[in-house]
Amino acid sequence: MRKLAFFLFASLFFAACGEDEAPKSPTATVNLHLLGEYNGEPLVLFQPLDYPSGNKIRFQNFNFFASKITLLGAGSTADYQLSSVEFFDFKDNLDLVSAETPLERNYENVPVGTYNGIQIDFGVSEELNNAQSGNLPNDNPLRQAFASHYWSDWDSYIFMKSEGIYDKNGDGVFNQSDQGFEHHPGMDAVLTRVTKMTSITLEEGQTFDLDLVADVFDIYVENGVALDLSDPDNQDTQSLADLPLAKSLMGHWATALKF
Amino acid sequence: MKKIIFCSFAIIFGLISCKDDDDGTVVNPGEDLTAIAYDPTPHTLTIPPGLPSMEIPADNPLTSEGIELGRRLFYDPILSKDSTISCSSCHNLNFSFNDPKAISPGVGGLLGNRSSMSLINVGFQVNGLFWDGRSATLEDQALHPVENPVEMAEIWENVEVKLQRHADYKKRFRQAFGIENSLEITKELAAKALAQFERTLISANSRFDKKRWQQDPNPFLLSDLEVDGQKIFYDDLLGAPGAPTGHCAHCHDGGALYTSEVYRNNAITEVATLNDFPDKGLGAITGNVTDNGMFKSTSLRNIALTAPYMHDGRFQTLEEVIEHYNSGGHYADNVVIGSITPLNLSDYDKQALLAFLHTLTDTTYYENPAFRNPFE
Repeated sequence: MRKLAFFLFASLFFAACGEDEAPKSPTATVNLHLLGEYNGEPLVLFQPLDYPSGNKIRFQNFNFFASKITLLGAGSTADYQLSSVEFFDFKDNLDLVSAETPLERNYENVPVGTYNGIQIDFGVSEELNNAQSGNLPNDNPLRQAFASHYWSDWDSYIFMKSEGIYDKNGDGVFNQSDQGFEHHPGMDAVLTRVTKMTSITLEEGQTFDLDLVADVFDIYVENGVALDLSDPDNQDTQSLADLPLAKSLMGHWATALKF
Repeated sequence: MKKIIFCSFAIIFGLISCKDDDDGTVVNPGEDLTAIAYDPTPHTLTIPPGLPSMEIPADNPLTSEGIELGRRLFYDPILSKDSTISCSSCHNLNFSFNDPKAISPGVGGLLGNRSSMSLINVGFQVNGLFWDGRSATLEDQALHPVENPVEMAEIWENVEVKLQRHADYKKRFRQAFGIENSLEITKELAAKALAQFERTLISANSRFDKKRWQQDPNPFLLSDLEVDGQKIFYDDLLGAPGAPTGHCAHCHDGGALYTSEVYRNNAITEVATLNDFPDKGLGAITGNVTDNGMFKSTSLRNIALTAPYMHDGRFQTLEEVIEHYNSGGHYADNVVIGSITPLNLSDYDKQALLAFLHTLTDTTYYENPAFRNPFE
């Protein structure tokens, strides 16, 4: 009899424990797709492209960090950070087929609800930029890109690498007499927050495709005015003297990011 | 009499059990190793300032026994066909685990077409190994040289048999990996041991390390010439008009790694088109023509010890290397000419850059007995 009583008591105890568990909040999945473009067309590296000056431009590398990728809450829905940092690299955009395939990031267990838009810090957020890379796991984007993107002299990650060649003499042929460019903005001062408003409704168990475009044309062209790439002063962003250029390029993410 | 009968039965039964039922070949049952204690000692690496984290694969944790086994395999020519070549033949401790020959001779003196690479701090690399990046992990990398016909020219099956028969290695594989039978010694375990040893090859004690990463307050640690070279290396001139820039760190930063682990065509080979590189490097692996002629940027740590230079060892001195980059090299469509461009460095600038490169030399690791040849 005692055993039976104990068994019943234990059963009640465990059942009670189960009832205390908080009900799971309904969640959804967000698939972020990011397409690299140049002036509205898929960005193909190593291909001559039209620059507003009338000359040709050719990109060889285009990549960047995006941090604090956040869905902006609306009403009772709170803001939700999808990712603390991501590294997007269009290195495989070597032909049209590849260029038409967006980079993809998958975020699961996102609380359902209606969000007002998305907010992204282009670059590496200050707290991450100043953190010690020695503690990062290997699959962290900051560890993966540490060697290639940590600029020791600035104690900062390079936030974006845009590299290529500009047909300076306009002869339609790229060679060493033309102007190479190597824009590597970094430092906390050039971190750029971009907010894009749109209604995003996440339903339980569903996957929401968040399609974004990074248009590198808009990094270089603002209101129809293109950066003068024939000017040697605009060739790179290596020193503090180049800070205004670095800020300008990063600031253009406000228009370069599109739905 | 009973004993004789028993022994006879035992011998006959033993022989029968060693025979394959189908073709009659003798099967080696291996050696039971379970009497040898298996109690590996975990080994924790100390990561010096300036270096990033190092991933240790979950299926190959560092142990004292594994590292020691790896060290022995590294220095043992048993891995080669005729027992003349070991890993250390091309990765010499005294040359920052590199080879002073442009092309290291393999078994029979055969030559390949690429220079050996330094192994110092190799465990921190995450963007491919070899000049062309064809191996993702040290465990995979370690498998290749054994069967390369111009390196060790052996086949792993033979190496496995040699190790399985070797009294000391049987014991050490047991102690490192807990195998129960000598036949469980495999190339995968050998590669794991080699990888463990390679992950310990850490160097971070050059004069520049002390100044930059260890915050050594000694103001005389670097000379004025070396500091000027540092500025040229990192393009750190605060935008001074006309100031010299070397653009070196674009490919050789990465904190105290002194490599950005990028693949670049560094303009050393003149070609008419991207299809014309005699050694396609990364392009041969990816199949992308725009990767042709690209090779991994190596670490400049101990660069003064690792002559000759470039993937084919074409430059004998650092002066030649600096002169190459100062010239801008040979244009090709995949050269990033934003940084590989005529630099117009003065003689003083070149001397300063050279002096700075020498500050990246760390000879203290020579003194680490754990890195030395255990057979000497």
